[in-house]
Amino acid sequence: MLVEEFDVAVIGGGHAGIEAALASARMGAKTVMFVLNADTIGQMSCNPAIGGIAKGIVVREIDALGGEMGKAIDHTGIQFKMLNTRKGKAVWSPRAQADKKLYREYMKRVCENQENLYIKQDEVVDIIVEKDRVVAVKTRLGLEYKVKAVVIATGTFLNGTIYIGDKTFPAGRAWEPPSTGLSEFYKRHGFPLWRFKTGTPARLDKRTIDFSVLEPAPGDDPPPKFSFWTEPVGSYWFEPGKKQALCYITYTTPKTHEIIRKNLHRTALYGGLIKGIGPRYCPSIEDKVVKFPDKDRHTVFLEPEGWDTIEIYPNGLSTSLPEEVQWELYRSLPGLEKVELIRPAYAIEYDMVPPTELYPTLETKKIRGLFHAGNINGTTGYEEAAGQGILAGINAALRAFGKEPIYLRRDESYIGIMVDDLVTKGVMEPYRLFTSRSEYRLKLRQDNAILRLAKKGYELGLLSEEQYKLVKELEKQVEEWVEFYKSQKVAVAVGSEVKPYTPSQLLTAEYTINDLKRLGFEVPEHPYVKEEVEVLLKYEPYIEREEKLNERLKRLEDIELPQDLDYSKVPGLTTEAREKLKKFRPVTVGQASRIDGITPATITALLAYLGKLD
Amino acid sequence: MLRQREPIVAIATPYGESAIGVIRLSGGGVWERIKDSIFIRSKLKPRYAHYVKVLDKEGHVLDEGILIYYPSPNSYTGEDMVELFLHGNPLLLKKALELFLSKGIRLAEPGEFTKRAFLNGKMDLLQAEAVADLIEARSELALRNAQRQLQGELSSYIRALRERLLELLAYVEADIEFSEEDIPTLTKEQTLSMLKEVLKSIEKLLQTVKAGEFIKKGINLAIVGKPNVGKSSLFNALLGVERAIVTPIPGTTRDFLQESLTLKGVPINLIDTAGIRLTEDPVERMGVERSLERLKSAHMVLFVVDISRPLEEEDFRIYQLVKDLEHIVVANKRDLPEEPSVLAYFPQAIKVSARQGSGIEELKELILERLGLSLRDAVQVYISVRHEDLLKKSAKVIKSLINKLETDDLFPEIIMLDLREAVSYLEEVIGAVGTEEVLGSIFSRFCIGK
Repeated sequence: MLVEEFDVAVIGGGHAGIEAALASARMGAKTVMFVLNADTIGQMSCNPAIGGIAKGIVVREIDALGGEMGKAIDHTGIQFKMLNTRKGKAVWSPRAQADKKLYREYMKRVCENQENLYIKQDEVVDIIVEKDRVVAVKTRLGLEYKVKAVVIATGTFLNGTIYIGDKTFPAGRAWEPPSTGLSEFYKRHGFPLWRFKTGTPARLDKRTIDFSVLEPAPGDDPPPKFSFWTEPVGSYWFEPGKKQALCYITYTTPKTHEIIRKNLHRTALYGGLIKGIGPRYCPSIEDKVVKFPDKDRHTVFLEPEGWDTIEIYPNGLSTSLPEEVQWELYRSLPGLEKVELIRPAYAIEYDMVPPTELYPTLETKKIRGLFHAGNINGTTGYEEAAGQGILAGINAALRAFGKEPIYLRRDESYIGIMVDDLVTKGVMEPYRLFTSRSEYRLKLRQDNAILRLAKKGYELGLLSEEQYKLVKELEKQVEEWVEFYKSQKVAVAVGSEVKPYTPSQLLTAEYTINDLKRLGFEVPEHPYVKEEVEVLLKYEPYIEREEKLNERLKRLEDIELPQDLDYSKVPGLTTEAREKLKKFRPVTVGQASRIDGITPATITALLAYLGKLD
Repeated sequence: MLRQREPIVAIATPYGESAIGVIRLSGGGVWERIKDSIFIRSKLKPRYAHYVKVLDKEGHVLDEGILIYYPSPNSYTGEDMVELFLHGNPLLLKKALELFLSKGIRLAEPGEFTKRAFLNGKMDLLQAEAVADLIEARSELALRNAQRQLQGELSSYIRALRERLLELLAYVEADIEFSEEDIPTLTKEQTLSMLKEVLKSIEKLLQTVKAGEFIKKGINLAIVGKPNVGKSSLFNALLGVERAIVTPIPGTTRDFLQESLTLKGVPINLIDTAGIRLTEDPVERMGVERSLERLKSAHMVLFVVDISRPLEEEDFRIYQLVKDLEHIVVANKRDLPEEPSVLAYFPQAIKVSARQGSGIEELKELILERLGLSLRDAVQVYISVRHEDLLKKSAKVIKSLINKLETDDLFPEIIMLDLREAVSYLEEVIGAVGTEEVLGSIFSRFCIGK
């Protein structure tokens, strides 16, 4: 029974679904967001935090493309920090603790007030496909909505199963029902379905923790913010003096480790109940104890879940041990001797579709108009999900408009790197973003996300004319100052020798922009321009080297591979290479070169075939 | 579909009179281009030896021979190819070549046939490189090394170094990624020691480039000493046959002689010098000067003294010329009663008897050992000049990183950059995507017609 018509349907109201739905609606596509429970839009299922190394940069990129995550955390954050400040600025990354309830309410409010966006509390159980194209979605109660594109952002809900010791029950998130219909749809259309696993720690009662013996972990002052557009507009820092919450640090003890070892057989994972593959980089405490037997302690951060809640999130203590063992375990940590648990820790297993089924546009290769974002692609993390969400939403809208989808390049964003990794290499375990996944680490920084992507955001209609004008203006100022500092000279003593240097050379060395002021130079007034000029000049020679290292790569990135290329006709390919290329159908030679098992010889043969070698 | 490039032609056999001379043609529609000049009795069949006559522009028979046609893609280059087997007269082959050139077929560049084979995916880059090595190989060792490269032994050695750097990289990365989580990091000392270890391995590999060149092109070995100490006898003993004229009269060996021989598989270009001696004879004078010239190009000098007679001023004068060169002091005539003062002056000398052939095997072994070619040596891969350049670049980056680390604390992202650069050079050695320069330099090594 057909009831209504939409351009784009987004299935899921988590971090991927929100960005997808908002981007699509803001681009002018009539968009419907299906959620199992309209109260939990924007729920933070696991830790009460946004950002972190590499992840924080992704949030800035989402912001530069007109996304919501950065603004949401700026409005609802209770503690802000810049990570890695003891290292160079190229690897700095913002992170913030969120008030979970405020965050969720903010996101729900934004979605509710978004023009072109309609929220439906209903479960999509099937997608109707005609001639390999999405035409409609079907709900649990049998309603059909005609759509041109669908974004699947089901998170951990797709056939979710929770494990606590030997207790197990179907759920998409603590005690919420899972989504079961779509797995059938995927099987019917020949998509492989894998089981991945993740987990979350217990939530602790703040009143039963002895903070007097614990090490406090405060936020930064001034605190970094995520959105360029949060007041004060045009910078990445709040004014100093913002009210912030405290986190605390504690450690596991030999006793903790003993409890875990003794009860290992009772965990869902080591007991053999869970077959799914868990994340290597965000492991459960039992994983850590098993994998690092020599370490006598692991760090645990105690993070408040909000201003007005007594729930504390013990970061680093996720487990699938039975609840009674959890009590024992948590109480073996200093400060937690008398702790009461509010919610138990659990592990969750869910269906995912290998992302090698996707183009770098996040559209499936098998069905036109079907897009995947977030955990269904095998990623973990809110930021990874949101980054894919905004790209999937943009492309779903473009599909609905009959336009060509876009993809983001590895050399322009971490989102591009993540998506390329996913669709090219696939995932063998839950994928988390790292700066080391990027060969453009010095170029792709948190400070220049807005300069890298604002143009794209504006062209897609996701940034306003006014916003783009401001970015352009600041960019122009940065260029002028860089030019200025390269053209001036000043005599400076290095050791016993006094020699003339350009200010840009001094910045590349030990100097800061404030030192230049001391030497009598004018310095930029605008805080963003000042910071950007300093970073740019400090890293310039290194960025150039990085660029050179990547030149060959970039050349390959520019050579497109026709989608109808018949690899069986390309001479000089091994059978293995031929099969892989046929399966992956890479869009550029650069992407082909990153496919596992594709050798340089294969690439040479491809280039030769395309006539790009000589 | 293979790409058919413009037709090219070359004489594939060496210049000179021989029983058969081969002309090779490759390129799209190459048969169509030449068929007017070929008189053939039957219909052209692929890969069939046709008896044909080659006709010049006037229609006169230039020569007769065998023609084989290989249509694309089943040919060496993957393109349409024709091979003509004519009589091996250089003049005749040249005329045939000119005939084909006049039909708008271009003369092939060195290595162009193999380059096309490579471009058409008929072989990969390392194979192509090994093909060139196989053709050039002048000794058993060189052949074996080319085969080893073909089998990927050098690649696996370099791959191991790359792995080591990547391991280090992983630690530096982890320090950036997990600064919030207490994970194991490397101390500066550990980082430095890992870097130094890799550097040492690269430098060891770099040392083999000389040996690699030696086994490909041979060692220039010079024999010097005052007249009548037995240089020619030594030469003959090393060579194993009578070559130079040996008489007991000083100064008989006037002509500079060069003869190829191999020492345990390594080609040796042995230079028998005219005696370096004071002389008024203008003919001998010229010989002396030429000898001095040749000395400088020698990789190894054998300085011969007569162990049966006291040393003379001339021995020391000649020694002055060679003492700063790579040299071995050979005390010849050990079959005669020994004069003790000789070894007192040259305790490092190796005693031989060229006449009796004793001590010669030991001398050969010593020569190889001194040049880093001893077969007992563990390193069994030799790198080429192309590899040397890249390995040097990699070593340079690592060395400068070590220096910087020793004096300063560096940001990890800068260390990363250095490590990545060092790794990228290693990757280029093992055959990352060939840039035009790399391809050019590899294929220019081929002779025309290959």
